[in-house]
Amino acid sequence: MLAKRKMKSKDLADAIGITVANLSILKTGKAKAVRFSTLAAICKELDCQPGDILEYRAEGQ
Amino acid sequence: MKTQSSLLKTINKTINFFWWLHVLFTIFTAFSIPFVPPFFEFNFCLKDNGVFNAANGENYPIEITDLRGIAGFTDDFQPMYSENIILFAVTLISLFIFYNFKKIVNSVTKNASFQWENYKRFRYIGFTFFALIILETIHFFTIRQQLSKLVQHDAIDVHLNFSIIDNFDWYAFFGGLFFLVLAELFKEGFSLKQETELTI
Repeated sequence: MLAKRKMKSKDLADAIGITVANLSILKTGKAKAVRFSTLAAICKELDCQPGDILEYRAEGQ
Repeated sequence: MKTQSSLLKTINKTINFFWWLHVLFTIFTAFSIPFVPPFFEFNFCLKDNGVFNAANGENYPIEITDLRGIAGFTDDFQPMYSENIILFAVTLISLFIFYNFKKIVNSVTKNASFQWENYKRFRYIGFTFFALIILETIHFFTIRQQLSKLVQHDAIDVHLNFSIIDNFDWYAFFGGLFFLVLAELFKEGFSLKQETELTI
């Protein structure tokens, strides 16, 4: 989605008010949970729906 | 970052003070192994196996004494300097416990209580308490053997009542259990902390 919008990670992190490190945790799937406020901010900035950036994968895949 | 409470600061200073005191004591113990005859604190009592009663011709067991205190060795009793090595091992083990405890208190004062290292430290302390009990039991049996010899040598027909139950280190046993439970609490605290930190 970032590539589609031609946006850098740092710019998105600055726009939604989190650190680049935390954004990286989100991108790599290491995060344990995502706040609704963070999710809303990302969707607003990237102009997309949560389904566009979230994907379910069964464990071990 | 939260500021340290004055109580926590005082506890930290006290622990540090006793840590250095313990280090000095350990050094002293190490040097004293070949020189100082060991002394022990045990519960024991001596029983006379029979006092002859002329009136009815029977023997009556009489308890001579019931002692609790520090027993030292007299000159006619062979001092067991090897026992000092066991006592030194106990000192080293307690130093290890103290070191880990000091580290935990330090991390608490730095507001970093729930970390994986503290979980491991509490587990080390818990298991070390059980190791302490094993050492103390070995110590107990060697001392009992020697005391039995002494009793046989000095007073014929006197029975030594010296039981492991009376001398079992219940403080170390429940201390070990307590620290193992605490370790599990810290493990849970660590996973909760990680969950909070990884909520973005």
